[in-house]
This record gives sequence, C-alpha cells and structure tokens, in this order.
Amino acid sequence: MKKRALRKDFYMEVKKTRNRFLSILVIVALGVAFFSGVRASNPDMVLSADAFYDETRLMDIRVLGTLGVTEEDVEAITRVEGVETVEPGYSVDMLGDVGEHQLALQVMSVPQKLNQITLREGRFPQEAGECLADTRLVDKGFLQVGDTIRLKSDSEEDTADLVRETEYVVVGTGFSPLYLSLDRGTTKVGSGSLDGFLLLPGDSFAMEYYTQICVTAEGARELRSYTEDYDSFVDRLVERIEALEEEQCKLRYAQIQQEGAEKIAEGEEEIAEGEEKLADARAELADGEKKLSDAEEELADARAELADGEATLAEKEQELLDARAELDDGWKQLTEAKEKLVEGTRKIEGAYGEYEAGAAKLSQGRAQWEAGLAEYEKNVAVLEEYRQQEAQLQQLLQAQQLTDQELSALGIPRLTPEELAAYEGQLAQLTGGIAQMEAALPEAKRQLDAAEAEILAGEQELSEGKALLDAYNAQIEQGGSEAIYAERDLEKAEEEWAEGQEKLEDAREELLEGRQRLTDAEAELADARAELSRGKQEYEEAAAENEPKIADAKEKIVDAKRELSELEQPEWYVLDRQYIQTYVEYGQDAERIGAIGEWFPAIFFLVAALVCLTTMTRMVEEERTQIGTLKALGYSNHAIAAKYILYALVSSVAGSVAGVLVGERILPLVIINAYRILYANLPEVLTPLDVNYSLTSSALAILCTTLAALAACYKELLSVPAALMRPVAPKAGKRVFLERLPFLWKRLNFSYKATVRNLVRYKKRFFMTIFGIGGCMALLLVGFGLKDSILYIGTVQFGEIRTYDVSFGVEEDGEPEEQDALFAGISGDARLTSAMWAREASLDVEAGGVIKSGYLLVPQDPKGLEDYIHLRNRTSRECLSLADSRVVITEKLAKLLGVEPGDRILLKEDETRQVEAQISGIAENYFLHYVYMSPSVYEELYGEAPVYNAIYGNTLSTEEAFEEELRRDYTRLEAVSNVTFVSTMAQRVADMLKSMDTIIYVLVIAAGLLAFVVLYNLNNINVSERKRELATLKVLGFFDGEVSAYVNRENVLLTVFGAGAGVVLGRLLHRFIIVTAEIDMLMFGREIEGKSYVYSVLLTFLFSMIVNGVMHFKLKKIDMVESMKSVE
Amino acid sequence: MSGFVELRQVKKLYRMGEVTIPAVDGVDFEIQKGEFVVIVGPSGAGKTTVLNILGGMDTCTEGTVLVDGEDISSYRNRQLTAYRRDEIGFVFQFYNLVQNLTALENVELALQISRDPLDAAQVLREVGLSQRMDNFPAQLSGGEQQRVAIARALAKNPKLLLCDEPTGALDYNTGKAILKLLQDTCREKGMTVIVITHNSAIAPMADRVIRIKNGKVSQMLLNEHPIPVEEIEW
Repeated sequence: MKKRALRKDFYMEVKKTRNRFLSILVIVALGVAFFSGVRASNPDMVLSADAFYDETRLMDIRVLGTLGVTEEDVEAITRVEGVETVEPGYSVDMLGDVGEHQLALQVMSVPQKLNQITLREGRFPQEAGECLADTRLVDKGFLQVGDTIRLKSDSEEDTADLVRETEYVVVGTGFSPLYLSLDRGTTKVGSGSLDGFLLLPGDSFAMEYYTQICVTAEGARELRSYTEDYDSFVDRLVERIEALEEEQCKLRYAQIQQEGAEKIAEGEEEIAEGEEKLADARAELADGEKKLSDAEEELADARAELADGEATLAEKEQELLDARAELDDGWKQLTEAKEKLVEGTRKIEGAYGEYEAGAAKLSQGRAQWEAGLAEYEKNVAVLEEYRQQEAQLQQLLQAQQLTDQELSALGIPRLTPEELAAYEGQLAQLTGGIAQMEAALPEAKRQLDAAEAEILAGEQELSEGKALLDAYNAQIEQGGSEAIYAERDLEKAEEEWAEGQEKLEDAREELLEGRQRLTDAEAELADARAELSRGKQEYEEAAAENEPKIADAKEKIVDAKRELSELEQPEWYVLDRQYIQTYVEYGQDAERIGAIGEWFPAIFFLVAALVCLTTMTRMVEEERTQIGTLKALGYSNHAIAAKYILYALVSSVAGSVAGVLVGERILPLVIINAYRILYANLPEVLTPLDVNYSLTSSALAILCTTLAALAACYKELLSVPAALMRPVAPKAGKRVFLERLPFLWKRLNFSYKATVRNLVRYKKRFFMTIFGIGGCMALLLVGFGLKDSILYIGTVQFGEIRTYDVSFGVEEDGEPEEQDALFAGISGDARLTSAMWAREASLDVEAGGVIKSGYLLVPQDPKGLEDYIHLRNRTSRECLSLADSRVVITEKLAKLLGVEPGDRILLKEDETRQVEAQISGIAENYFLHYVYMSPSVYEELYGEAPVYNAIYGNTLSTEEAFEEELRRDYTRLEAVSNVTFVSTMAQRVADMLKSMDTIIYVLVIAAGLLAFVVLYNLNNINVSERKRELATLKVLGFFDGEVSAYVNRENVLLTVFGAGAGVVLGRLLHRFIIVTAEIDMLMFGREIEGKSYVYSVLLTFLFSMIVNGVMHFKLKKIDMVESMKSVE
Repeated sequence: MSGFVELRQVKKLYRMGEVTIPAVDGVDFEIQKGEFVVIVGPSGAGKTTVLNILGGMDTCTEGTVLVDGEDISSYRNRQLTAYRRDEIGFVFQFYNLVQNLTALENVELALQISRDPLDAAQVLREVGLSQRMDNFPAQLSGGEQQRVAIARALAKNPKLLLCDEPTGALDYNTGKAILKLLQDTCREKGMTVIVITHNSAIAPMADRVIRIKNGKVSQMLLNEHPIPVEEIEW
C-alpha cells in the first residue's frame, strides 16, 4: 500500500469501525483459543504428569512375586541390560487404628530412590516407631502429624511377622506419584477399599522377603509417558526382565522349600517340647497326689498312736493312784512308830537326867577333893619356898661379912644396915611359918585320903547305872534309825510317785501336743489337698488350653507340610505403569479430553469463519460507493482490495495471537485444574505453547477471514465504477412459501407476517444465525448429554441391567459341602432377600481376528437371572433369554468384534481351552464385556459342569453402614474371596462425573460466548442494514419496546430454528464424541435425557435474550434523522 | 385567538465544543386548523429542523411548541412517541416504505399502532392505488410509492400531516400529482398539511407560506386565494 491516502484511509477505517474490528478479532481469538486450547489440553495433561513422574522418579516397572522377591532377584534384575535403578521394597495392606477410626492402609517402606514422596508436612521417619502418612488421611480428617497409629494384620499372618513395632507415630505427611488421584484402590483388608498409604522405615518390616522390586528403565525418562514410544520402550525391558523369571523363581522355590522344611522341623520340636512340658506337669501332679496319700497314711498312724498313748496314760494314772494309797498307808505306820520312839526317848532322857545329877554330885565331890588336894600341894609348895627363901636370906646375911671387893666379884650388893635389919626380921618370920606348917600338913593328908576312897565308891556305882542306861538307849536309838530308814524309803517312794505324777503330766502334755500336731497336720493336709486340686485344675486348664493349641499346631504343621508339598513354583508379575491404577485413569482422562478436543472446537471454528465472512462482506458492501469512487479515480483492484484484506489479516492475526496465548495458556489450565479435583497430587500444570496447534489453528483462522474478505471484494471489484456509485436497489420483498397457505397465513398476526418475510429476505443472515445458535445449542446439548451418557452407566447399568446389590466371590477350590454351607448361610441371611450361584471367569473373545477381554457369566438358574441381571436389547427393548444352545454377548463387545446374532465367536480361557459359540442376542450393557450362557450350554461347550464361584444377592438396603457390616461379616469367611457392592461401582461412576461437571461448565461458557458473539455480530449487521427502516418505524410512532420487539421477534424465531438445528447437530456431535471418547470396556449411554434438552434450550434462549437486551439499547440509539437520509 | 399550531421563539442550538451553532434561531409562527402550509427556504436554512421539532422527532433547545393546545416542547421521549403515533402523519422524501411489505401491509404497519385508524384498503383506494394494494414497494413506481406513504400517513387519522420534500425524488408530473393529492386531502378532509420544500414555485398553492432563512422566519404570507396545483408551472 504505497498510497498514503489509502493508508490513512485504512487507519481511519480501523478506528472508525473499532467494534467491527474487535468483533472479528474476538471471534477469531475465540475460535483459535478453543481449537488450540482444548486440543492442547491432552498433551498438556500428559506433559504435566510426565514432568511429575520424572521428578519423583516414578518406577517404569514393578516386579512382584507370588512368593515375594529376594535380594538375589534384585541382583539379577540389576544386571539386566537397560535397567537404570532397582529398588526393592515392602508393601503390605494392614489395618490401622487411630482414635476411633479404623483404616485400611497400604503400609510401604519409605522409598529412597524411586517413587519419591513429596513431603507436605513434618519430616521423613528415621527411627523405629515413626511413620509418614498419606496426605489423604490428613485431608479426610483421620489423623494428623503427631498421632499414633496401631497397626494390625487383617490376614492369616501375624502382625509381628509383618512389622516389628505395632505403634507408629506420624512424623510427617506426603504424597506419592503412585497416587495422583484420590482413589487408593482396593484391598482385602477392612472394608475393602484402601484409605491411604503409610510409609515406615525399611527396617521396620519383619518380613523375610521383599514384596516388590521397582525398576526404572535407562532412557525412559527422556520419553513422554503415555506415548507409544514410551510404552514399547518399556515393553522391551519388561520382556528382558521376564526372561529371568524362570530361573529366579526356581531358586526362590527351592529356598522356600528349604525354609519351610526348617520351619516345620522347628514347629515339630516346639510341639514336642510343649507336649513334654505337659507330661512333666502331669507327672508332678501324680507325685503330689502320692505324697498327699502318704501324708494321709502317716496322719492315720499318728492318730492311732495318739489313741494308744491316751490308753497308756489312763492306765498309768490308775497305777499312780494305787501307789498313792500305799504311800499314804506307809506314812501312817511311820508316824505311829515315830510317836513310840519319841516316848522311849523321853523316858531314857529322864533316866539320863538322874544319872547326870548323880554324876554331877560325884564330880562336885571330886572337884572338892581335888581343890583340897591342890591346897595341900600348894601348902607343900609354899613350905618349900619358905625354906629356900630362909636359905637365901641366911646366905645373904652371911655373905655380908666378906670385903666389898669380894661382894662385887660375886655380884652381891652391899646391904645397908637398915636393909640388914629388914632381912633379919623376915628370916625370923619365915622360920616361925615353917614350923607351923610342918605341924598341920600330916592331918590334912589323912583327911584327903578318906575322901578319895569315898569318891571312888560313888564312881563305881554311877558307871554301873550308866551302862544299863546306855544299853537301853542303844535299843531306842536302833528303833529311831529304823524309823529313819522307813521314812527315807517312804520319802523315796513319795519322790518316785511325784516323779511318776510328773511323768504322767508330761505324757499328758505330750499327748495334747501330739493331738495339736495332729490337727495341724490335718490342716496342712487339707491345704495340701486344696493345693493339689488347684494344681490339678491348673493342669487341666493348661491342658485344655494347650492341647487344642498343640493339636492346632500339629494340624498346621500337617497343613504346612501339605502346602509345602502342594506349593507351586512361584511366578513373577512384571508390571509396567499400565498396572498403576491412577496412571491409567489419568491417561484415559487425558485421552477423553483429547477426543473431545478433536472435533468439538471445530464448531467454534466454523462459526468464527462464517461470522468473519459475513462481517467482511457487510463491510465491503457498506463501502461500495467508496470502492466505486476509488475505481473511478483509477486505483487498481489490488490497491482497493488490499485495504479489506489487510483489515481481515490484521484483525485475524491479532485475534489468533490472543487466541493462542489465552487458549493454550488458560484453557488447559482450567481443564486440568478441573481434573485436579480428582488428581489432587499433581503438583504443577505445564501449559507450554504447542507449536503445531498454534500454527494450524492460526493459519486456518487467518486464511478463513482473509479469504472471506477477498471473496467479498472480488464480487464488488468486478462491477464497473458507475454501477458501484449507484445505490443497490433494495432487495425486493417477496412472497414467502407460507403465503401460499392462506389458512395459516391469514391466521398469523401482522407483525409475524412481517417477521417471516424478513427472515426469508436475509437468507445468509438467517442461516448464519441458525448455525450460530444451533452451535450454541449443540455445545450445551453435548455438555449435558455427556453427563447423561456417563450417568447412564450408573443409572441404567446399575439400576436397570445389573440389578443385584452384592456379589460374593467364592474360592473355587472349596469342598462342595463348604460351598453349600456358605450358600445356605448367605441365602439364609435375613439381610438378603435372594441369592443365586453363578460362574464368573475372565476370558478372551475372538471374532474375525479381533480379541477382546471380557467375562463369562453362567447363572446356575438362567430363568432366575432376571432378578439379578436383565438381558435386553437396547434398541428393540426385547428381553433376551439364555434358553437355547447359544450365548448372549454384550453390546459393546459385539460392536468391537463386529458380530451380530447368528455369528460365531471363539471363547478362550487360555491358549488350550477354546470353544466356539454362536450368538443368540446382543444385550444392553455399559460397563465391561460379558458373555452369558446357561449351564447346559456351558456343559455342552466345555464338556463339564460349570464350577460356580460367585453368589449374587439382593439386599434389603443399600445404605453404606448396612453394606459395610455385610462386607465385614462375609470377608471374614475364608471361602469368600471378595464382597462387591453394586452401589460402590455406581459411586465410582458418580465420582467420574464430578470432573465432567467442570467440562460442562467449560462447554456452557463456551456456548454462551459463541451465542453472544454470533448473535451480537449478526444483530449488529442486521440493525445497521435496516437502520433506515427502523428509524422510519420510530417516526411512525413505534415505541422503543415495539421497535425492539419488531427486530427481536426475528431473533426469537431464529433462536427457535437455531435451537432446532442445534438439537440435530448436538445429537450428532454428542454421538460422535461419546463414541470417540469412550474406552473399550465402557459403553456410554447413547441417549440424551429430556431434561438436558430443556436445560440446553433454556440456556440458549437465555443467551439469546441477553443479546436481545443489549440490542434494545442499541436500537434506542438509532436516530430518526436516519429516515430522512437518501438511500445509499 | 391562538393557532392550531403555534411556535414561539423556538431555538435549536448545537454545541460543538466551544462554539454554539444555531440550526433554528428563534422561529415564531402560527398555523390554523385545516390550512395547507408550505414552509420554504434554501438548503440548510433550518426548515427540516423545524419540521423535526414539529413532528416530535426532535426537541427544541428553547421556546414553546403548541399543537392543538398541547405544549409538545415539554414532552418527554415517550410522550413524543405517543404524539407521533397518534397525532402526526409523516411523508418522507424517499417514501421509506418497508420493502418487505406490500402496499397494503405498509399501511397496516402504521395502523396497527394507531388509536383510531382508518381502513387501510379504503385509504389506498382514496389515494388511487386500488389496483396495486398487494404489490411490494419494489414493484411500484416512485409516485405510487409516495402515494402508499401518504396513505400510510393518512390512515393513522392524524391531526397534522407533515411532508418533507414529498416531491424531491419524483419527476415533475408525478410530483404535481402528489401535491394535488395532498392539497385535495387538505381540502376534502380538512386536514392540516405542512409541506417543506425548497421549491418556492409551489408556494402559491398554499393557504399559508412561511419562508425560512438562516434559522429564522423571514416572511409569512397568508394566501387569500390559493391556486390549485394544476395551474402552477415550474
């Protein structure tokens, strides 16, 4: 555009027609946004998940063994080519008690390398007794960090065989890439569905083997999950790991056999020990009894002895009494004798007195004699002395004549003359006394001699008396001593008696003591007896307790032996990510979005293109005069067309850019965020711009708009300038088809006649509007219809087709009696109204080279099946029976296999068991594939009677608590492998619908936007084309409301037609999306509910009304002066 | 005695930023009931604005407009619309027929909102279109279209018939015929007809001629003896 004037004109045009420019921009943006945004949602979903998987290093492969996996297996797998990381781990489902909640938990070891946990709160467990809990458990309000969980086993195995401690403190919470969604899957423990996982440090597990080995493939991280590339890449590694299976399993088998044998030996030993202990106890008890009886015997002896003793005592007492009497007699005699003796003694003593008196007189006489004698002798002595003293005095007196010298020599003193005088006096006296005395002394001598003779005679007499007395005395004394002897004897006897008495007392005391001892002994014995009986009781109790235990243990050992012998070689399951529920579900959801995104935005696109076309055409038409003028001025067609093409180009490019940005950034975010209700753990949503979708959608949008502009110009540019300068002759009014039906036309209100004519007059606008509104209606219908279709699975599949309430899976290898008992128990349960045996087995169905997995279902009573499962054809509503020799298969299966009634299909349970059956009917079914046949057909086909392994039942109530109780009661039974409630499956469908709600909101909003843009745009064109007419109406005195009504009446009619078209379009699109989006094992409902039509119509009208409301104000602004202007 | 239509010091001012441009700058005139009035003036003199104000399509900035004793200058939008639909018949230069409706339907379009309408077919017969009633505007000549427009205006049985250059898009003879129709309508039905034109030549046919120049009434004549339109040449 080299011409400046034209350039200026272009800018002015854009400025002046801002609204038109923007409306093209917006519709292009919308179209591009929806087209690229919805399409990008699938790859964005995959990408977001893949980034999360890579970041947390989600395992590519998991190896499980039917008998666990070992360190050796880990090593073997590590050596496999292409294996990057190998991490063995534990995983076991257990029950956990926290407060009043009982939870079914998947207890796993804390992963170190793979499937890394994202910590949300707290820390990882480090010590024994610590654990990390699933955030889901916290979110559901079961527990919080700091709580303690008590784990217990809910299977045959002891808790202690699984984990070392039973109580664990929650030290943190986190989420695992294994669980993107809220569902934690199913389990055999507790209520049957897992509440969450719990992570313990690896060494908290007491198991002897790992339960799984997680593996990542080298190079798999670079590949995008959910892609063919990734799947086939991992598949190759799966095959390589599977190649190890046989050898490793053989090893494992041998190991288990050995371990088992050891354990059995151990167990047997233990049993022997136990039995021995019991025998010992029994022996001890017998011993005790013997001792007791001995003691009793002894006691009896003692009692006899005591009795003897007592008899002897009585005898002795009598003896003692006799002795007493004798003794008393003796004493009496003694006393008498003593009295006599005393009298004799007294007499003798009298005689002795007389003798004494005589003796005394005699001795007195003798004493007088002696005294006389003594005096005589003394007088003799005195005489002598006198004689001597005379001699001496004489000598002295003689000596005094001598000299002094001689005196001193003799030693005699010299006497004085006085002294000599004294001495001569004394000598004279002395010579007189001597003479007297010599005269008296011979007399005295004769007297004394006479007295002496007398005395001697007396003494003679006395000694004779005395001899007599002494003889008598001797006699007495002898009697006395005799008495003394007797007394002494008596005393001795007395002493002896006393001794006897004493002894008797002692004996009595002893006897008493003996009796006491006896009672004591008896008491002791009673005690001992009591003890013994207690001991016996204890023994019996212990025996009662232990014997069954031992018997049990024995039985167990027998079982174990049998099991060991029956033990089959273990198998490995090498599972890729397709076996992670959440991974698969997420993938399916992404695919579903992809399917919706495949065609759904196309409507938008088409409408956007049409709106652009109309708008551009109108623009060119409006500028007809100007085009003519420019042509007349000599501008080339190119130069003139460039303006309109540029106009379209600029607006559509701008719109595309905005659309790509908004669409690919925001739409996937909205959609994925909607899915995050289900996949709460997805941490981050990645919405990169997708080059492919961006470019294709932009290119398409720009091309459409620009070509529209070109097409519009082309027509005008062909005309000559003069023609262009003349106003276009107004389109002539035409009679419409309806007028040919006068009976109808006449009945029409005048206003409607005008409306009908107007509608027919602007055909392009008519179809465009109908298409726009129809698109809006179709989108709404698809949205609500999708919900209906999915809901259909719940309402029809579980409400009309599979009408039973519960199914019990029964172990196939049980004894017939056991099974009969179980069935009797179930059908006798008052909570169930009816029950029926059936065989359920998974099998592959093949027809025309297509193989699909399904289930074989053989009801025991084909006629009674009606109470549990309704077999009917969806379209003809005809009930199907299993009466003839053919089978009934379900609709989706028939469709996938491309078979019809009468065709033959191959039923394969495995490679070796294949049978061919003919189809008699196709049954309506929405979930999984089934092949139904009667027992007789089964027998005919397989050559044996079916083994029933499921019991279908109808219950009184479908309340959660009721079902929970029922489930708990029956999962306990060993013969029951699972209890499944139809309501649970219905609930899962309902959960699936939750994410659909958001999709529906997106669709409603999209539909609303579409309706708005289309209606607004077309109305705008309509009004601008008819400005003059409307202004005239105003001049004629039409009120604003009447003017609006005049225009809106057309819109309402168009909306009605559009809605009608939308129903058709919506049904087609709905059917298309449903068929595209549904996965193999599902069949969505094919019908849209009446309710959804009503909602869609109401919403469409609401949108239309809103646009009409906006138009009302626009109409109000039309100036009546327009009516004065000349026709352009 | 005041007139059937009375304009007193009617002004219409357009404010363009600082400047005030008067489209009508104090117009005063009276019209008696049953008169055939021609308002004449050069292009841009403000005659269309006066007509718009009189027809209730526009409001005056200042002054009073009395029609049959009612002060329409004080009317609100809705009152003005009611005034238009009940009291005014309008004939446009370009007929402004609804292309999609037949002649009869175009008349009926007006009638369906009218309080006291005449019979559409009768009115069409009166304007000489008894044969063309079921034709669409595109099938009619200009004169015929204008007759339909006049019929549409008359059928409402208005108090005032306002015509904006009714002959502007017509050839001489047809124009004359239309003017005659208008004059006859005035005479025969006692309808008050106001015709706006830049063509002074037709002034003699009017009872009252109002000349407008630069937004003011420059002259107002009462024609004691109006000349029938057939006798006027231009």
